[in-house]
Formats: sequence, C-alpha cells, structure tokens
Amino acid sequence: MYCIQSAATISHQPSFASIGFSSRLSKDIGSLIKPDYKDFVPPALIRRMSEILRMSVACSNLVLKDAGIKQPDAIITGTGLGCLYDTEKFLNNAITIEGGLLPPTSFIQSTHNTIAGQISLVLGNHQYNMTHTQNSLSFEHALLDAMLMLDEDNGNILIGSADEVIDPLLPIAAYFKLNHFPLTSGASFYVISKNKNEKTLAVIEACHTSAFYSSLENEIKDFLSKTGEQQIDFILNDGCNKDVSRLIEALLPGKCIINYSEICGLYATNSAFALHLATDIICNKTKQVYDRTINSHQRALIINSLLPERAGFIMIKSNEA
Amino acid sequence: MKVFVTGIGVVSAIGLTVEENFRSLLNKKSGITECKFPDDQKSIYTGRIAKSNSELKQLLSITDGYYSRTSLLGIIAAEQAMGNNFHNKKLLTAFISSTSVGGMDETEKYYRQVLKNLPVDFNLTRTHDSGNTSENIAAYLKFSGYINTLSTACSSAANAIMLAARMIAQGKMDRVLVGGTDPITDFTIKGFQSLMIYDNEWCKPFDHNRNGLNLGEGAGFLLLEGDRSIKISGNEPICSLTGWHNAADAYHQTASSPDGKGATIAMKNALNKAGLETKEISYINAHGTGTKNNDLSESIAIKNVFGNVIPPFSSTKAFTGHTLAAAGAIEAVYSVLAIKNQVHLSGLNYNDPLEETLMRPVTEPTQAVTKHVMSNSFGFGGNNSSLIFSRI
Repeated sequence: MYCIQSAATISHQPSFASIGFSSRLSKDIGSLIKPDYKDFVPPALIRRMSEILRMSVACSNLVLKDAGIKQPDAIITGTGLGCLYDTEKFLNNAITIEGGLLPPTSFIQSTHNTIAGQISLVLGNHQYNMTHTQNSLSFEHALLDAMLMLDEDNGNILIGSADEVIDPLLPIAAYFKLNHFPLTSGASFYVISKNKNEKTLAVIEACHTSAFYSSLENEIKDFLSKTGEQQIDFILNDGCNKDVSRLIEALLPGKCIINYSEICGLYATNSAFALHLATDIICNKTKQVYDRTINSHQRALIINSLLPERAGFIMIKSNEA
Repeated sequence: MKVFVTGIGVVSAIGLTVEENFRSLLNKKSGITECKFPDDQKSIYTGRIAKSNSELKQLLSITDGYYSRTSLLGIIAAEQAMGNNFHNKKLLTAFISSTSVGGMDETEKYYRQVLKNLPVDFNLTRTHDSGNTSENIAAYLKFSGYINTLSTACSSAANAIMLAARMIAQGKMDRVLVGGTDPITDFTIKGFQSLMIYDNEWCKPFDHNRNGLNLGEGAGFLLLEGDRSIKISGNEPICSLTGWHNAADAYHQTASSPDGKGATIAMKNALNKAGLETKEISYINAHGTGTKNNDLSESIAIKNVFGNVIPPFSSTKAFTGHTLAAAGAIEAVYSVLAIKNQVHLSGLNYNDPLEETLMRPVTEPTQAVTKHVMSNSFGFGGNNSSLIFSRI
C-alpha cells in the first residue's frame, strides 16, 4: 500500500495550499499562480533560484509540513526537460561570449538533479536523492522508484516532479504542433508512505509505464486486468489525442473522463498535477469538474499518453476504499 | 535475489570495444589528447572518440533520423553489452540509461542557427531531452516496456545501475540493460571552465599538484540478470553486483564537503548492503576527477570508511577523461574487468601524494587477487553513489 500523506502543487490553477481546489478550478489557463515564496523558501536563496527550483522547494516544504515530517527517507524527483531557464541562459552565454570566463551559476543550476539536490541542501538531508528524466513519463518513473523504495523498507518518501516553460520553447512546440493546450509550468510534490493513518489522503494502488508498445489498447487492458476495472469512478486523461480519448471511451464506456491538460496546460510532467487533482477530488468528494459530473469518489484511473508510443497509468483509491 | 553481471560494453577515448579499453588500461595508454576545441583559440585536453557522428552512424548502419552523439555512443556500448541475447517474452526486461546533458550537442547546433538568425532545423531539438537519447538506444535494440533515464550529473550511471539492481532484487524485473552515455559538448567544457576546475594540462587524479579535470566522452552498459533470468538465458555470470548506496552530501551545489560526509555514507552503506567488512575490498575504482576538491574530499571519505588499512585504489579518469554521466558505467565495466582478470587498475600522471592524507594510488596495473571491487561516483548537487562488484 502506497499512502499519499500530503500533496502540494504549484500550477496555473489555484492549487497551492488550497484543499478542495478541484471545485474552484479556473476555466481559463492564466499565468502561473505563485505563492509568496518567502513563506516557503529560505529568502536568501530565492533570488538565485529559477522558477522550477522555487516551485519545487516551496512544494517540498509544504508537503513535509503537512505530513508532519522533518526529514524524508528519500527525495525522488522527475523532470521532463529539467532546469530549462538556467540551461538556456548558460547555452546562450557559451555560444555568444567569446573567450573569458562565463559566470558559473547557470551552469551549476542547469543539471536535472539541481531540483532534488537543492531540496536536500535546504533540508540538510543525506538520504537517497534521485532524478528521473524520461520526458512525458518522468513523474511516473519517479513514483515507481518511490514505490520500490517502500517495497524495500518503511519510510516517508518525498516524491515529486516539476517542469518550467521558457520562451524559446514556444516556436519549437508550435513547429511540432504541440499546441492543443497552452505550454505551462508546474510542480507537484507528495509525501508517500506504507502506513495508512489519519493523515492519509488517498492510496496509490499501482503505477505502470510502457514505451514502444504494439497497441495502447492492450497496454490499458493489461493494466486493468492487473488492477481490476471494477469501480473506476472517474478517469483523468491527458486529452491531447482524440483517438486515445475515443479508445478509452470504448474500453470503459460510460465513465466520467476529465482531460487534465485542459485544466493545467501542457508540460512533460503534468500527470503529477493529475494525481493531485484526483486526490483532491476523492478527498473532497468534488461533484463537478468543468462540465463533468463525478458521482462516486472511491477509485480513479490516470492515463498519460501525452507522447505517442509512451504511456503511463496510475490507479488511485480513496483511503476508505 | 542475487544480481549478476552477464554482459558489458564500453566505448571511450581508449577504445571502441571492451578489449580495446582493457588493453589501453594495461598498457597505460591514455586517450586524452591536446586539441583545438571548441573555439580554436586555446588548446584543450579532452578524451575524445576519434569518430565523427557520420562515421558512428555508418558503423551502426543508421541511414536516417536524428540522433544525438549521446545516443550513438550509447548504442555502441549497449549493443556490446546485450551481445547475443534475444528479447524474450518470458523475461521481464527493462532498459535504463543515464545522461547529464542529453542531446545538448545537437541543441547547440540548433541554438547557433537561432542566435545567428539562420534558417533553423527544428528537428535538431527532437533529440534534446535526455529521455530521447535513451529511447533512441532502446529503439535501436528493439526494447519496449520499461524505458527510463536517470540524470544526477556525474553519478548518473552509477545510480542507473543501482536502480536496475534494486528492481531485479525486488523481483520487479528479470534483467535490465543499464548504463550511461555523454558526449563532449561546448556546454560542458565551458561549464567546467567557468567553475575553474578544468585542467589546461593532463589531469592528475590524486596527485598533490592536481589542477582539475579533463572532459571525456563515451558510454558504458551492463546486462544485469537475476536468478530466473540466468536460468532461462543460460548466461555465464562474469561477477555479481552485491552492494550499492546513494546518499546526498547536502553541503554545496557543486563542491564536496570537506569531511566527505555523503561519500562516506555511500561507501559504508554499500559495504553493509553487500555484507562485507572493509578489509574485504580488494580495489577501489575511485571517482578521482583530478579536481582539488573532489580528490581531497574522496580521500578523506575513504579514510573515514577504511581507517588506516586503505585498499589499493586509482582513478581511471586519467585514461578516459571525465565522461560525466557515463563515468559510473564505464568505470563499472572497468571494475568488472578488474574482477574478471584479477587485476588492480592503475591511474596515470601521479607523482606526489596529497599532503593531507598521504594516500598513494595504484600506479602500475597489478595482477592480484580481486574479490570485491568498489566503484565510486559523485556528482553535482552532492549526489554520491558507491557500487560493489564481487567475484562469483
């Protein structure tokens, strides 16, 4: 059993430190809704931090506080594109500045593991510190690592993911027609543990990833045959591909399907937003998300096939189920 | 469940095959050379692989599509490690790679076009993300299912190997093809120069007068199998992977702590995992980048763990250069070779010990009983990992 003890998300929706946000979603995706970072990030560090680091450290601090934990037993993150702001900044300098030394800060902060590393620094944490980066499946792989860690041992795992949008990404996304939804930024972090208690928000039953499969239909069927397709109350689907939406409707007829990219926008790890949204819907028994009605709140399926030939599935259930 | 190493593959500045690499290590032949790179103004020492991308593609019979050098190097090493093993529906098989910069080499080309207002080839950006570099390797070798990438800077591949071992040990996977790959890029050269830890001459790991690292490029891969997989594949294990641990140093974004805390935790817990006493380690393939900070911090950590009885140790980065994410896998392959051939590998360019620790690395490849080899990999963000390979 993998219990979600706390969850925090910074996104383009009013999701941060906002229990029940699933019933207060904005219809339009505006700009990133940032908390007052100095309440959640050591003020001396904020100025040097890019958005992805600020979001991640703020979310981490909130989930640890909410779970009542000072030191997690592991810090595991996922990021599709990593610390883009600093990467672009250093790349730009490296190409344009001839001779002489470049300022190192953006190089230092360009590595993917700056996020998990920064969290360990802020906490003074000496535990397992890992960074998964498998584009659209980065969050699921981080989650699988966290679940593996709980299979090995007890503990409280800090697991999350983050991605940030920068302007140079826009022409590239437009060229590849990745513009069904606005490109956005977001970070979601969780504390998960094996032991269910009064803090448990919801329970992750299973997570699975697959790439280069021969048929998405078979992948979904396989996952359902292992987890049981009885009583799936609602489905969160990335919603980027109409064929996939039709396939899900055919496989699971009559189910409430919510397209999460429509809500949080497009970023490589937005399935982590979906997990928080599902958690919030289940915990608060949210009846309405956009035009979709949710009648029962026991169990939900998250399907992420943001990129073709790559799929991630998460099954989550209520802590009462 | 036990974790066995049944296949190895490596490509580096000292060879395109495992045999070439091993021969260079025994002959003390470094792959680091002086060349004009990247802007022709100053010469720089790098461990480059003397094959262009188009030569690599030709070698691999790749005729179309966009591939970063990261993927091309990865394919060469991964294919060697996979050997004659076939995909088998009865065996749950995963593919895990690791890289620090992904397809940055191709992104640099794209970004030069953008900054110079030239016509841009957007397809160059397809290979930017680290996940893509792994997917290209996996697709070439016809993998499907669990395909993942870790990126923790210079400890990436060690962490990938550790994740693979954990998945096999927990019965989640029967076998995993795992490794790491990184090319030399302007981005990383200028990055390490900006940190003022790039040696303008040959790097001198564990030498008192060391002055920084030289970058290298390459890839290393290992085929890891559990008991069930071995029964079905019939593969003869070369050695086993018995210990692993990752710990955060939590000291500084790039520098290692003066007391080597993270590294000490990693080595101690890897020993615990393997159920070994310190005296049982025959040889340590150290991280040994040649920077003032790393080599001192690592030496102190080794002292913390091993006390006054320090096993023979060396850094092979003086041969290959620091291959960043690939280093952990390339050096894992060297550690496996040390066991397979019962030899302690040497470093290069060493004259005087660090005055703080007076520890002397192995300077000549030495035939000796080699039961357990520890391989250290430490990365930015204070990411410290230690693996232990053991003779069967």
